[in-house]
Amino acid sequence: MTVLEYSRKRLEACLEEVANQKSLDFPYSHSELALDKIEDTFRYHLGGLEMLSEDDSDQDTIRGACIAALVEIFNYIPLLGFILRSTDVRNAFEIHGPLLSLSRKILGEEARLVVSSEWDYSPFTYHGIPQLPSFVLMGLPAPESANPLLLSLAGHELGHPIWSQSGLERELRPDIESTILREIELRWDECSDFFPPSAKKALGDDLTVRERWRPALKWALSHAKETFCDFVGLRLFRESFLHAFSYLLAPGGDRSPAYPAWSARVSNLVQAANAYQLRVPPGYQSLFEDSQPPDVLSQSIFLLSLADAASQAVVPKLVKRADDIIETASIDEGSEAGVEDIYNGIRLHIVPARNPVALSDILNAGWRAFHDPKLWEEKKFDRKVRERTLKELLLKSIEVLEYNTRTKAST
Amino acid sequence: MILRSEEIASLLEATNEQDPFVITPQPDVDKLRASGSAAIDLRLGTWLLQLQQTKDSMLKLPQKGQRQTADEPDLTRPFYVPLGRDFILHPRTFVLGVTLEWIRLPRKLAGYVIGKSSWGRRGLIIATAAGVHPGFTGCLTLELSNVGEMPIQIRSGLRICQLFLHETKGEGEAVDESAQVGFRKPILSKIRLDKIEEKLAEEPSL
Repeated sequence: MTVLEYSRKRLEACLEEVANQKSLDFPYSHSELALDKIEDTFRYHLGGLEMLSEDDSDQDTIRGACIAALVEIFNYIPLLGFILRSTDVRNAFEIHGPLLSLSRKILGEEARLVVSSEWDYSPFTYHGIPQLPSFVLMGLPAPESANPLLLSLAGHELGHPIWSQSGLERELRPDIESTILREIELRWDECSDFFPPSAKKALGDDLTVRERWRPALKWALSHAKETFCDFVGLRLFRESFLHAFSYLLAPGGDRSPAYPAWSARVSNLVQAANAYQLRVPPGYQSLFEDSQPPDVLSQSIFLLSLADAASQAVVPKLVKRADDIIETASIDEGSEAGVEDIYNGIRLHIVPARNPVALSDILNAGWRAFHDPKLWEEKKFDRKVRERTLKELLLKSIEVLEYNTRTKAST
Repeated sequence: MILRSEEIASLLEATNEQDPFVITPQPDVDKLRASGSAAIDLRLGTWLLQLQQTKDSMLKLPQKGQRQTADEPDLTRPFYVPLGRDFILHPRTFVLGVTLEWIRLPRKLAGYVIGKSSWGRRGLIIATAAGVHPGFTGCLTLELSNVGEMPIQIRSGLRICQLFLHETKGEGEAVDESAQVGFRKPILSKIRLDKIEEKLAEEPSL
């Protein structure tokens, strides 16, 4: 069999998988729309390969087309898995409507949302996919995908497409780069071994020298993005974001160079919480511990320290930009009175929110109830019943929010 | 005494934070008051539970000491139907549905739920474990079956059943603490044998 034939077979198998998935029950049409787009991509490549023949076509053309098709298969197969899991009844489907509404207010009316579960113990988002430009694909870890208390973390995931749309990376790159260069100059004694002797005068200009510190720039930009996304989550969902963040991630574990150190990340959250006038739970920072990334080469540690310094320097700007973007989106941010009203309904009468106006209020009331050691004490619920009942109340509250929003909008 | 719509509307509007009557999402109270009816319409919720074949040969009664019959996950398959979306109930099929509304009854009220006749006359029978006890809080599980000849299109958010309410007599403070309290999805309630049923199942020692 030739490479061309292998390639066609692979695409046919992918198209068969898409066809299988299309027969499933999709609660929301956006999953089906995403499947259509992926199907179009596979069909486009298969059509291209079918126009080629081993006898008549140029071998380089065949090879190029086969590689392009294979790249698309690698790109889109994980998405097919993600879309498949969006049909799983383990998911809290009630969150789709309010999250979509939030996404559209921030990203524009054309935004589409697929909420799914991930077999990766970290909330995840796919965005900026060439064939799915207006789609936000958001996944919570499978064991927690029905846990509404963690929904605030979707705010971080929503931060990623906002980051791409806002052009912040382009805006911050010069600042970050100049901080890195300044740090290298200031700490030249520590790093002179990594650079050629003449490099100090050409740190920013000489391409080979730039290559030496380029990982620091890449990491610093990634830190800035992740920090910004944390601030978006915090700004959207207030204190509930802090609780969900520590529930899922404390005490931290191994550090990825793509993220700030845990202590810095949490300290930045506290700084932003203060700027947004939010209450930080007592002892919050002590829940997290730092650890070095597994790669402990001294050069990597040095470059990572440059990235840390450069990304920390832009934190105040990130705090403000997240605030401005959410402010401009005219999202109903909720209020302390709204949280109190929902919390009292849960605590005193085991009823969901009666007049919710903001998703943030529901999640904050949920965390308040979760942390209340006396919640339903007189009912003598065991721990599992208590937690199950709280989740039921929160998901129903989220559905009531959607119902009220849609019925009020239509009258 | 069955409560009329004016009384139900007044109870929904009352700010009795000690022991409130709650229906959420709350129906239009003005419309309810003006309806003059003796019940309140409830809508179909977003979760359905379809009973399915299992590896077991039959649904058996629990043995002595067992708490229930087959587990819910073995017997049922859940579906989610987003607000405003359709579900087709084919002839001779049976699903469990749930009210969209979460209901909390105060100590002085009890109720019962029945299907709407407009649906019943078209073959859609909505039965429920009709009694709703004082203090109940949760969504009500509904048993839907199509006994007609044609598939029936149903939709989440559709008015599908009605809740009649009446005041209770007596001074008891006890409220419904049953296991069915506090769910947003339809559930299979547990079947347990009481002491008498267990005794009768024993071999008589004659």
